[in-house]
Amino acid sequence: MTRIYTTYLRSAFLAVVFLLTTAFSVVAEDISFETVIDTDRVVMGASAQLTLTLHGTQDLAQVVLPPLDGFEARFVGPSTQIKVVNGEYSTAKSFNYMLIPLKEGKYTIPAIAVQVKGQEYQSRPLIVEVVPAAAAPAGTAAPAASPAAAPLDDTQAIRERVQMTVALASTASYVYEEVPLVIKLYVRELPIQDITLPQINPEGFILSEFSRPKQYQEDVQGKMFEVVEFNALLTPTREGDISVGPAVITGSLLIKNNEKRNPFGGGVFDDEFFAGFFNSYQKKPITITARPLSLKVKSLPAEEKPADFSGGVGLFTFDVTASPLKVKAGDPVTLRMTVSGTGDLKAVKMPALKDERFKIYDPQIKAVAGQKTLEQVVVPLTPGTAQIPAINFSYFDTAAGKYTTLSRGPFTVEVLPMDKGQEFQAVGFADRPISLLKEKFGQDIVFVKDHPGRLVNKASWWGRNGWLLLVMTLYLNVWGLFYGIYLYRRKLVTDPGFARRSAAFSQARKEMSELKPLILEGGAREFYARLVKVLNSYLEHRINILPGNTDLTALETILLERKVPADKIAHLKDIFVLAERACFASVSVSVPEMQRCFFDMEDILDDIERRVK
Amino acid sequence: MRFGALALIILAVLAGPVFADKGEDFFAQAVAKYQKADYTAAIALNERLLKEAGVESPAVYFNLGNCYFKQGRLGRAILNYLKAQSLAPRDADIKANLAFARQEVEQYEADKQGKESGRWRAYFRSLSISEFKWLAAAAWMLTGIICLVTLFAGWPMKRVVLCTGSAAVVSAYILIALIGAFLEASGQAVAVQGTEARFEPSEQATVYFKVFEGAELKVLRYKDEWLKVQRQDGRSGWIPAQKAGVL
Repeated sequence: MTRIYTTYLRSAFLAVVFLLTTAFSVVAEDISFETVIDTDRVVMGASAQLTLTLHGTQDLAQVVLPPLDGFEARFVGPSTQIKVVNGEYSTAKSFNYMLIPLKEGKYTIPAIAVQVKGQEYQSRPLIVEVVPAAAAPAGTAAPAASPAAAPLDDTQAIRERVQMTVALASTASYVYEEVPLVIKLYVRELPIQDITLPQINPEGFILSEFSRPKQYQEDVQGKMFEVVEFNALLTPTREGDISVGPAVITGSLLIKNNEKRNPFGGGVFDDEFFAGFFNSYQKKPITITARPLSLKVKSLPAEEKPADFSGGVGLFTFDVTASPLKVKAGDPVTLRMTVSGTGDLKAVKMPALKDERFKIYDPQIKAVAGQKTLEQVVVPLTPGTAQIPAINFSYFDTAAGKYTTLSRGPFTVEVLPMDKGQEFQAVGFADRPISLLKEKFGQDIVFVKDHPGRLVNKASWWGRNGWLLLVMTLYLNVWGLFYGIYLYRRKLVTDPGFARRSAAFSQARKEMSELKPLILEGGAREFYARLVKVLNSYLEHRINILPGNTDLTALETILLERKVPADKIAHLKDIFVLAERACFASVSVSVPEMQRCFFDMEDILDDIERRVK
Repeated sequence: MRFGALALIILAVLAGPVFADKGEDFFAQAVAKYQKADYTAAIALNERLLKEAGVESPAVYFNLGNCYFKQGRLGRAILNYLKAQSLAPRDADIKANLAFARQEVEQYEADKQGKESGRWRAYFRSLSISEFKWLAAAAWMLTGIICLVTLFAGWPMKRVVLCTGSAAVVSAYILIALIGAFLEASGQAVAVQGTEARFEPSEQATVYFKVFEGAELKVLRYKDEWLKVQRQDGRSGWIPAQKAGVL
């Protein structure tokens, strides 16, 4: 009777240890961080275990422990835990340190902060006292050989009580076919906690996340085991033989500290349950390994592969609905496609609708609980009867070993005209994609011209070239004029005789104009003296007669040679004679006579200027 | 004498509008006939405009080309479009109609290949003869101005010669282009009827190749009622003169 009772209590203890690891368990999925030390009084020469635990997630790689006053900290290793509290599943990750006291005294382990998903979590400070060895009370953290240690160190004994199996639903599969994987951990009469999820090196396959582990009891060859079952889906990614495993689970074995009792037998109060209740166990890491399995993977047949193959491998069902089937033009119709079944839904590419008669919005795709849904809004643009064409879904049926195409539809939509004034309020009408059609243009000649433009006389050469000739003639004249000016100016510079001749007449006219006031003043002597001077100067420059050689006889000869009329020469001689008398014989000359003489002089100079070249 | 020549030129230039008024009447009537699809009457009016009024313009030849095209007489249509283009080489309407009419002309592959390599032809056709004349005149006038400016500026004679000589070279190049354009325009013909080119100017001579209506040809020689013409690909032969329209 006592034996049965003890066994029951042991099983209950296992469950309690596994499910309720600490009294500070957190609410499932709430994140919190805490530090726990296994004792608040440490004896010099012994050690204490400091555990930094992050509850609610395992998304933390490392915690850096700050330098601790009075202790040397040694990192022992991390551990993960899975807990079910009142039916709620949660996880935690711990970082374990061994604290070795350096000197006696009272120390504070400060608050430690960690960053998780951008948020900071902080633990509370702890106070630990280090006491001398003599002051240590019995049953605290002082190391002591556990009576249970000897038998528990026996590998064979542990192997009998802790076992793990790995099983695949099938030994052969197709590439990308999901194969269920079951890993079972069998534990009997052993206190184990902090077990991790199974670890498998995924070479040649993809392993899904493990679902929530199941826990139950199972009779194996007449012995009752506590079983923790892990389930996942394995998807091979290459053909050929692939090795699945070995699978590894790690945990901590609880070993009794201070009493040398056999953990596998004894009285009710000698059991681990009560020992654990009084916190007299220490943890020993344990690794459980299962042998690898082999899976034969076949490739998908290349023959008869549909062009619209979705990539789905397994066994699927396909359903399509369209609603409403009676709308106004511009109103949306929702097309809903659902693919469900066994197989990797992530790899399934959902069918797409393409039809120019509809405005088609981008689809929304969701994958939940073994089914993948696609919702797409399509908008019929023109009134009448519109037909959403049949939609096909092709996948590889692993049971039949061939490709299968499921077709749904077509769906006939009755499209009513839009209400008056609502034409431009149709949903998404403004965003309607521009459909570019290839335009074909007509070809013909350009129409006749209405105005003849500038009509030119085609027969007349002058008519066609007149303007050009006119411009050219004018241009040539102007050009010639300027060129002449250039030549004249050049000769003035290079030919002094020409320069004198050119300047003679203008100089004479200028000096003549200065004589006019003398006529009015009545100064006959001065008038005639200057008149003769002007005349001599002109003749010298114009006919190139040397100064002093202007006697009347010689002058007459020269002028006659230059074809100056004889009467003009005679007139000139008269002027010279009159001038001589006025200057040297003081003959009185009236003003009218002087005026006549002046005009005669001008006339003679003009005549000579014209005739003498 | 000089003033007399100038007066003659001015008279010739001013006499133009008198002929033009008469031409505009014919033109307007021809357009009206065309709009009524009376292409024969429109052709007659346009021909009278050219012969009786003795005036021409790109629009007249263009409209005449359209009339012939509507009648399906591709050769005469192309001939008139080419005449219009020689007066207004950059007119888009003329280009379009000429290109469209050319598409309708049957031709041999070899002939077509020859046509595509006519770079010089395209170069000379970029300006009309009239435009070339003005361009050449302007170039020579500019040369003269450069000469005067450098002389008046008192530059050394070497520099004057260099500047004026450079301008004269450019002007001479334009003048050569003008001559080229003139020669190009003067030697062009279009087959107004389909015919056969022969080795000799005789009906009994051996046929060398077929000439389709609308084929553009180059006139090499005239002999009696025969023309020696060259196809785009360089092949030449004799055709009756009445089968081709010469620009």
